[in-house]
Amino acid sequence: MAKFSRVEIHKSEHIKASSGDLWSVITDWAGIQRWWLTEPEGGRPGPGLLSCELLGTPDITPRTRRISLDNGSIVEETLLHQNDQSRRIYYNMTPNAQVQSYFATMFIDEVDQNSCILHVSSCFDVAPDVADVDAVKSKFEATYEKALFNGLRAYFDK
Amino acid sequence: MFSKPQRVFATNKGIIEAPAQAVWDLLLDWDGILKSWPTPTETKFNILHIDLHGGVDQIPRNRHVHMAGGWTCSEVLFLANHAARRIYYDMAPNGVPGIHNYIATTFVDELGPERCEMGFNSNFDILEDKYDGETMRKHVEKVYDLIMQGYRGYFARQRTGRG
Repeated sequence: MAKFSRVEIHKSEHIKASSGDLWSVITDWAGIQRWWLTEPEGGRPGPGLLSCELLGTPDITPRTRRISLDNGSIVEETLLHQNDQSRRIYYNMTPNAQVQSYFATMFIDEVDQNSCILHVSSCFDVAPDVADVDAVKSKFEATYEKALFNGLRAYFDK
Repeated sequence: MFSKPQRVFATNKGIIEAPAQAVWDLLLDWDGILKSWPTPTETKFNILHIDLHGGVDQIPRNRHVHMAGGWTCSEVLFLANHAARRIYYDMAPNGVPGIHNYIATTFVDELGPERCEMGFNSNFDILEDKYDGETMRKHVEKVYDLIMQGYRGYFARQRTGRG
């Protein structure tokens, strides 16, 4: 049996926003165009965001966001579990030629009334025929650091 | 009541002297834990019986593990990737007293024809101040040890014809 490569990523970032405000933005599942940055603005390298459509109902799990990118690819991420009390979500992503079994969690820890820490952790498997596993991992790290963290920081700095 | 959630990431891994496919099959036998679970002389975490809700190959399927301690641990297997030999499952709140938002993954990596490695990762929250996150992390990692100990015993019995 061909061997998959196991990948784990754990990232955390300080955000200057109340934990409640950040939680509202994170759980606005199809609202990523509110905070998404283009590459020149400091966002993630690679294809740009064209649209994001919600499949399902806001505030009800499961709900899916269908993200269309300008290279023609479509990514679907489904929010499976949301705990408003402890401010943690779990979500998955549809498999593609390189990545399977993607599952991630985000949670927010309050620092004070005006700042918090956003954590993201994910696990996934990289297909056996992918030569450069580190490149795949780097792509996800860039998504968390540049798309997610930079985008949210810029959104709350406005 | 709680002041702030305690965030916990638990992880463990270990070698099992058995074919990866056999370990994978046992892992997917969702209500078959008693085949491999350590005996009462080997662990204080004793299982009385297990109810399966859902078909044996159905996703999702739910096992209700009735523990001798008087609580029931309900775990739903919601993803099984046969090609990558990885599962994801959740546990209902307080399935282990004090644990909330528990979601775990287990995977099996082949190391040779009769040898493989099991890996376990989980995230969860402790919401009540009376529980300590570090203690709960060690507790969960100990359960992963027990699972692997049970698997080692099960496959040893298979090899000696006592299974």
